Amino acid sequence: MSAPASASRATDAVLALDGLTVSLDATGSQIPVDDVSLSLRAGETLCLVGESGCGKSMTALACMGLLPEGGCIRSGSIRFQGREIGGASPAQWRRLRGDALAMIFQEPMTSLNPVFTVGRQVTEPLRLHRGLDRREAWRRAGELLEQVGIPDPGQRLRAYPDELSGGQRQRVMVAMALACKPDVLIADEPTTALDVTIQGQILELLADLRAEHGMGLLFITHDFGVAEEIADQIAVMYAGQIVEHGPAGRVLADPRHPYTTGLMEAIPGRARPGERLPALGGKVPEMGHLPDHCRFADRCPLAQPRCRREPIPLVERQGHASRCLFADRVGPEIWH
Amino acid sequence: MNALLELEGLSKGFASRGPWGRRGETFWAVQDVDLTVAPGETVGLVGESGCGKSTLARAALRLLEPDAGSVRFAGTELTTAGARSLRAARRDLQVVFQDPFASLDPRMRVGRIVAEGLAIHGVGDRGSRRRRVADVLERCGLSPEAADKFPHQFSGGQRQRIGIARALAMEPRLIICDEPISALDVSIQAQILNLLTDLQRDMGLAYLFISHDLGVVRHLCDRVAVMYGGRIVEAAPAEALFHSPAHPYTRGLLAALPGARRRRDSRIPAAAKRAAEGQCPFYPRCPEAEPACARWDFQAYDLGRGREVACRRAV
Repeated sequence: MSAPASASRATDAVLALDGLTVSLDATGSQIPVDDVSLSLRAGETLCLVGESGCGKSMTALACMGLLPEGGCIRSGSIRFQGREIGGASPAQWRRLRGDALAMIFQEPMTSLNPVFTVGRQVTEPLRLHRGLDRREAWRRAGELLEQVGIPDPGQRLRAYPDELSGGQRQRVMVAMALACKPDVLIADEPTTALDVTIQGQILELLADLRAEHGMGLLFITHDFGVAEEIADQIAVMYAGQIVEHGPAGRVLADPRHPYTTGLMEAIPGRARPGERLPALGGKVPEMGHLPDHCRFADRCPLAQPRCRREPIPLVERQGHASRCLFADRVGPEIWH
Repeated sequence: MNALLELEGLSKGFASRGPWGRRGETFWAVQDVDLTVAPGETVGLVGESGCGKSTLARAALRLLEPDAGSVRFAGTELTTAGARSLRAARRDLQVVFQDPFASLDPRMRVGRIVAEGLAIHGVGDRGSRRRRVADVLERCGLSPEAADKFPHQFSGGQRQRIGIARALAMEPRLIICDEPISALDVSIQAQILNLLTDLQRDMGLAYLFISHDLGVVRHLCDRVAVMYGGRIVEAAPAEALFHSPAHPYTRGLLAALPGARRRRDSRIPAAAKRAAEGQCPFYPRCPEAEPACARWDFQAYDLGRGREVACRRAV
């Protein structure tokens, strides 16, 4: 028979993080990403779910070689198509980024350059990586804008970012990221600021690209509705660690970490109208003061003294992992 | 019904600049809107960005001068009110804004921010205002010591609590909430929603709750008005609106909610050009449009049981 599932996963993976630990300063007192292992295969979508400050965006930036000044990978590896890229040189990163490995950022107004036209920015990766001439690159850029649903692309290419609506800017970001048909696309909350109708259109576009040429998609979101629609796997992050990870259907139907159920129960629309929402009390521990034991213990209704004794490992059972000693007792009712 | 807030035929337009600075065409951000909020009621106003919902809120508060129509609040006509009666009305009519980072003065301590309304209206003396500030901060889940700090020392959720405390200090009867939780994380959203629900129960507050998040609106609101292109296209009790939406736009919005059950064929196009004069405002985008919809004077039809819809095909 075949090798264990996890081993074959790692070999097929287009993007594989193994024990990735990121530090924001030399002393290592600020660890936004702690021992994160994930793997993404071609044509697959992995949703990374969590709230602000949980480390999901920092994980994405590490994969793009875009950690902020002073930040570094302390340990672990990032492999892209089997090659280690965690220690790549700036020149190697430039060849990779925007070509085989691309990213859509959350905030289109700060990620587009206001002094260059849309056309100049969408053609940049095509000219840089594909060596297209100006004319050919503009023609291709027009096609891309059309593909992401921007009306009158020829005219929009000559516009500056401030002349576009928020939804159009976000679609320009998507067009730029897709220009060179990346093998892996990292999307950091690409639809959060958009209206539901445009959100739907962008999710469909990403799903089509994935199906057409087997693009792997690492999709960062805090919206379980979006995850339900597009994810093959879901990983939930809390205070820098993965606390739950598994096939999307199982994580959504039968979550095994109290934080996951807490987030799900806090979504209005699932509760009866007018009812009090079961709110997660307390707050996320601060990055410089993370406890050695379970990081969620102070907010957890299931917490026992055992949870505060030592670090809690991420334990996998039949492909579904949870970082909770009481994973069997987790259910929506613990929040009511 | 004795409405607390009653908008009638409210319109607000913005003139584009034509060639050589001449006054160009007027863009009606809000056009001929009727809307009421009863005491103790929560009315949701939903729609996509650019539909006019925030302009409506600002015109109702007279933060923008309406071009036509009337705004009556607790019996006072606000559109023609002088400075004194407008100020008196605003004691009972407060607002919470979307961005808790931009709506608090960074140079003022929280205590002064929350007490500013009280001071302007000359409520009590310094000592009693201090006590009131401590009370409302506590009511909003903040410690009284928060009064001595500056806004930047708080997280987004805490700042939104400060914004609510500022509105609450005046003991208003109605708070207009313009996307008060959309900048916050899910777990913090739940905390703020619970706070709004508790305050309403304890103090009999009414809310006009503006949001693009249909789940939140369904959870919180008694009645919902759906806005499109500056017009209210459907208004109904929340239960009825979500159960059997009558306007194709409402149906399209509900069908676009992400999730495994969303179907591609059910969606309305993400954007379209604005309707021409004398067309249904939703005509260019409507999947169910008929030729007759291109020649239709906007009007709302009463469907009974508090439901109104502005679609000629719904009747």
